[in-house]
Parts: sequence; C-alpha cells; structure tokens
Amino acid sequence: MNEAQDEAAPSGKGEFDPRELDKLIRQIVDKVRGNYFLNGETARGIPGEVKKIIDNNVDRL
Amino acid sequence: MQIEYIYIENWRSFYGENSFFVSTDPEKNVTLIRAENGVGKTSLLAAINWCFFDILPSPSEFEDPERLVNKFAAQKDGATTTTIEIDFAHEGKTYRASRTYDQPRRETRPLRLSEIDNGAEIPSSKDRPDRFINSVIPKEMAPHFFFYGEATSRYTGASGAKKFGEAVKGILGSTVARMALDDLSKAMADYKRQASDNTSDDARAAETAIEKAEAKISQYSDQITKFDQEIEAAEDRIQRLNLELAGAKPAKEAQARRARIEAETRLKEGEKSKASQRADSWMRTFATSVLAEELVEEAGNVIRSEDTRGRLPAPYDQKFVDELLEDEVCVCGRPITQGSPEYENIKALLETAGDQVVMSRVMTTSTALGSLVEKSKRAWSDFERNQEDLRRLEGEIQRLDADLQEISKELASNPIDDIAAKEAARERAKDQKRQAERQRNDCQGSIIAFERQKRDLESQRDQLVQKSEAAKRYVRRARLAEALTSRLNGRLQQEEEAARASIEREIDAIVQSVMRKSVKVTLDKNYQLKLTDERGTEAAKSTGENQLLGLAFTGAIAKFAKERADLVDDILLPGTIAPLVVDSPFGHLDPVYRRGVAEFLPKLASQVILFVSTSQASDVVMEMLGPKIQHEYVLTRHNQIDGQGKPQEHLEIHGKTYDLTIYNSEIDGTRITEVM
Repeated sequence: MNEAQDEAAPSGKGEFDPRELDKLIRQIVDKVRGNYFLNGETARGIPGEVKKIIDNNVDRL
Repeated sequence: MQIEYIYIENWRSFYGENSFFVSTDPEKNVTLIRAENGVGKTSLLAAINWCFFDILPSPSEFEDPERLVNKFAAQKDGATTTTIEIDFAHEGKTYRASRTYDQPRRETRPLRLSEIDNGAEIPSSKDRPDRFINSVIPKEMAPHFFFYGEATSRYTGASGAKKFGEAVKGILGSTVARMALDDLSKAMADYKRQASDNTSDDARAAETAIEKAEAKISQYSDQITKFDQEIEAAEDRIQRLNLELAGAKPAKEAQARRARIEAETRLKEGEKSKASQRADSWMRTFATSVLAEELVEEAGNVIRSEDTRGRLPAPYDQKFVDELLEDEVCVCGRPITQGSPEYENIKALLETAGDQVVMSRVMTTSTALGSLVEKSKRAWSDFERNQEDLRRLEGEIQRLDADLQEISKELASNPIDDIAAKEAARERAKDQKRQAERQRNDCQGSIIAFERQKRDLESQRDQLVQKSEAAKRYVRRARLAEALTSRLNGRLQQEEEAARASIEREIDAIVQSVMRKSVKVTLDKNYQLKLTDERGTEAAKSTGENQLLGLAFTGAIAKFAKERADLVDDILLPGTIAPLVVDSPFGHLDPVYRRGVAEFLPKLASQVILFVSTSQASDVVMEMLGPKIQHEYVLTRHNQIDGQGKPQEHLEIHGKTYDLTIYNSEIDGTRITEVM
C-alpha cells in the first residue's frame, strides 16, 4: 500500500497510529497466508499466532 | 498459466484415451469444442477442476460422483482407474498436473506434478503440488474461469447479485485477509474473556451470557446460510423451468407474457421499496415537527406576546445604554451628568434593554420555531403523497400477481402433460422458495434480538472491566485487536469498492460496443447489475441482454484478474492468468448480439475454450470466430444400441463430415475428434 492510499485508508480506532497498525496487519496476514498455503482454505484458524503478534507489540504502540 | 494439452483416460462418459491441444497462439487463442447436449461437456469441464483442485460439480449437475470411471471401459476392459493429465506453461516452464481415481477403493490419489523438459517428464521439485497449483490459480478464482453450467445461467436469477458480489470478492483474492479477520476476531474475544476473568463475578457472568448469545447468533446464521442455499436452489430450478417452458412451443407465448409481467413486478417492487424508504424518511424528517405542533404554537405565542410588550426583541440593547452612561454624552451630543434627571431616565432604559446573548437565543428559537411551522405545513401533504404512492403500487403489484396466477393456471391446465408437470414443478419450487424466505426472515429477526441483547451485555461487561486494574493489560490488547480489525476491514472495503468500480467500467465498455440500446451499465454497491437509460431510469433486460451482461461480467473479472497477475500487495493475493472456459455463450442471442459476442469473447482472456452446439455455431458466429480458432474439436457420442430409426447426426466442416452421434458402434461412450 503506497503513501497516498495510506492517507486515504480508514484509520481504525483513533488511539493507534495507522502506519503502525498496517505494519502489524502485514505481519498477521503473512502468518495467515503461510497457514493458507500450507493447509488450504479450510485450515483451522491461528488466533494464537495472532495474539502473539499483538502481545509482542502492544507495549510499543 | 497457459494450458497446452489435456489428456483424459476413461473419464465419465469419455471412453478410452482422449486428448486435445488447447490453442496457445495469441492471435488464434480460441479452442472450439462442438458438442450437443448430453455428450460430456460438463464432464470435460469437471476434468479440469478435478485434476487441479479435486473439486467436482454439485450433485445436481453431476450424478453419481463416486463413479468416475467410464462404465463401458470398466465392463469391457476391466478398467478400474481414470486419469486426467493437464500440461500447462507457467513462468517459462512446462508442467504436467496429473490425478488418478481408483474406483474399487473409491480413492482419489493426490495431485502429481512433473516438469516437462525437452519432451521428458521429470518429477517436480515442488514438495506440495496442490500448494503450487493454488499459487498459480488461487482456488477462489478458479470457478470464475472454469464455470459449470451454461453461460445463460451464470449470473442470472434473483441470486445474481450475490453471485456477482462473490465473484468480485473471489477475484480480488481477499480470502487470506478474511481469514486474518476471523483470527483477529477470535483473538479479541479471547482478550475480552481474559479481562472479564480478571475483574469480578458479575463481569464473568456477563461474559458467559455474551458467549451464549454469540452461540445463538451463530446457530441462526448457519440456518440462514442453509435457507439461502435452499432459496438459491429453488431460484435455479425456477430459472431452468422458465427456460424449458420458454422453449416448449405451446407454452412459449404464456411464458414470454409471464417473463414480461415478472419484470414489471420487479420494477414495481423496486418503486414500492423506494416509496417505503420515503415513508421512513418522512418519519425521521417530520416526526418532531408534527408531534411538537402544539408546543411550537404555544412557544410562538409567548415570543409574540413578549414582543408586544416591547421586550422581545427589545428596541435597544444593554450594551448601547451602558456605553451612553459610561461616556456621559447623549447621541445628540448633549452631556449626561451622573445624578441628573436625564442620566436617571437613560439608566431606567436598562430595565427593558435587551441582552445580546438573550436576543440571540430568542432569534435562534424564533427561527427554529419558524422552520418547525414550515415543516409541519409540508408534513401532511408529503405524508398523503407517500401513502398514495404506496397504495397505488400495492394495487398494481396485486394486479400483476393476479395476472401471474392466471398464467400459472393456464399452463397447469395445458393438455400436454409435460408442460403441466413443468408448471407444477415450478409452483412447487416457488412454494419452497417462499417457505425458505419466511424461515430466513424469522432467523433474521432472532439474530437482531440476540445482537441487541449481546450489545447490552457487552456494554455492561465493558463498564465493569474498565474499572479493574487487573484487567487493564487485556483491555488494551482487546482494543488493539479491535483497531486492527477495523483497519483491515476498512482497507478491504476500499479494495472491493475499487474492484467493483473497475469491473463496472469494463462491463460498460463491452456492453457499449455490442448492445443496440443506448444504455449505461451500473454495478451498484449491492452488486445489482442494472441497465439505465439516458434519463437514469432502469431499463428492463431481456433474456438475451441478461446473457450478454453475464458474459460481459465474466470477461470483466477475467481481465481484472489478468491485470492484477503481477500485483504485490500485503493483504491481497495476486490475480491470475488462466484460460476462460465458456459453455453455450450464444444460446439466447439474436444474430447481431451473437456477432458482437463472437467478436469480444476472444479478447476476454489469453486463452478461451468455447463449447458450442451445432445450432449455436451459426454462420455469423463462425465468420467472426473462425480467424481466432487454432484448434477445433467435435465430441462424438458412440452408442452400441440401434438408433431405432433416429437419424444419424453429423456436421459438415470445411468440406469434411464429422459424426455427432453414431449408433451400432462397437463402443459406448464419447470420443474427441479433431477438426482438420
């Protein structure tokens, strides 16, 4: 996503920096994509992995 | 991906080894397969989907899905397996994808992938061929290239909008992002539960009640999905029966009349929905002014009576009087000495002088009252007009419904059994649809109630949790998960909107070049595909126009996928280049539209595989399509039985004769013959 899109994109909840949110989204989607290519569309979710990413970053944000 | 060659061995109706080349020449990118009904078009399409993805058509389109081996081969040759091989080029290499089914064991063997190098087949280094295929053509995009069923039925019917919406989302490659959204939502629920666990018994109780409400919502949502499928299946049946009735001579006229009345009913239903929206909007706009009519009048009287006493609005304001007293000079220039009678007289004016703030409030109130009075004057005339519109439209819809019932009775009493049976089946399908719709609405109502309950509980829980120090760390994490969800959701919606707009432009361009009407195509935010005339009024679509729109949509999404093939994006999968397979694209088109479609079809994708019946491959079609065809085939049905007087069917192409049906043959099954 480029700068112009970044500005126009929805900011999510106001208390977090949208750019930082996008960085986390990238990490989360990368993990999910790996799971998708490994196990297909019907793969079980990986909320635990998503939580790890959130836990590791929540204090920084 | 570019498919080069397809090999099928004892697959369904195809006996023995059959194979065909797929056109790879960019200037002649069409592969034409001529086939009459029932010879194996669906089977051939299923072979591609099954080989790549292990997907078969739904049971309603593909009977006996566990019997994949050709029956005659099993009886005569003792064949127990069937194999499909597809050679395709991708990023400079040629691969062979192959899958085998073992019928006695009812076992589908895993996809095999090998590389073809100088004619030699060497095992591929890809450790998971299915993952590789999924990266070449994402599974979610494949159905939009290898579509089961005739082009006519692709995106028509009342569920058309849903199919359009699913196609746009599928082709956008948002599956992974949606899976991420699911995981985020589960993570958020987990954090909230942990926060409640660390707060108090009340919070835990609220959390448990929320989970119960969620379980109910999910249960009703599953039921809605089931009812949606039933509605869709009923619509498909109605659509199919409509086409069959339209094709049966004695029912043709009545069916055409019904199609016209149904189109008119849909328009009226649309107008009624708009009138209902206006009535709702009337409530929002005028409810206050109507309910406050008496109060407004009373308040107006108060202001006016104060006004008559010279106070509101006051003839002079406080600031002006204060300044005179402070400067001790009158406006006429005479001095006003403190303590003088003049001074005291002027000071007495302060009693009735207006304060600016008060004055401003009075003015605002007065203006607001004035606008309420104006609104209330308009309110009743608007109300009457809306009610009149609703009454008129309901009356018109009732009349149209009565006409439809008459036609149904007329068809049901048709002396030809087949027509009466079809009409009865159509009525049954309509009843099933209505029943499923009612049950769906009930579920929807329950979901709304449980959602309200859930919101209340959530607010109760959040208030408790906010006060807890121990829960703080989980609350913060839940908020971050919520922000990520909202951000990702918003970005997806933006991407979907951009995709919708781009596909809309492309369909419009295709339609402008072919359709004879002066119309504009809109694919609205609810994925309703509409034709509008110069005045912006929605135009009714004929069956042929619907088919044309469906084809234009197919082409538009294939082009969209192609344009996004090299996309690098952090949340979406890239698009794909794949052959587009279209079955019976010319079915309901007149010669002019056939010519237009034959002209634009080859432009839709890098490879186009067309299935056409003899009647569809008319002169006008072949004139346009001919120069674009590299490979052409005929599917020939062999029957061991005697034709019992049925005529042998054959085709003359380029001066040579090709059999479509052969009786008294040595084999039973379909063979693929190349047109030379």
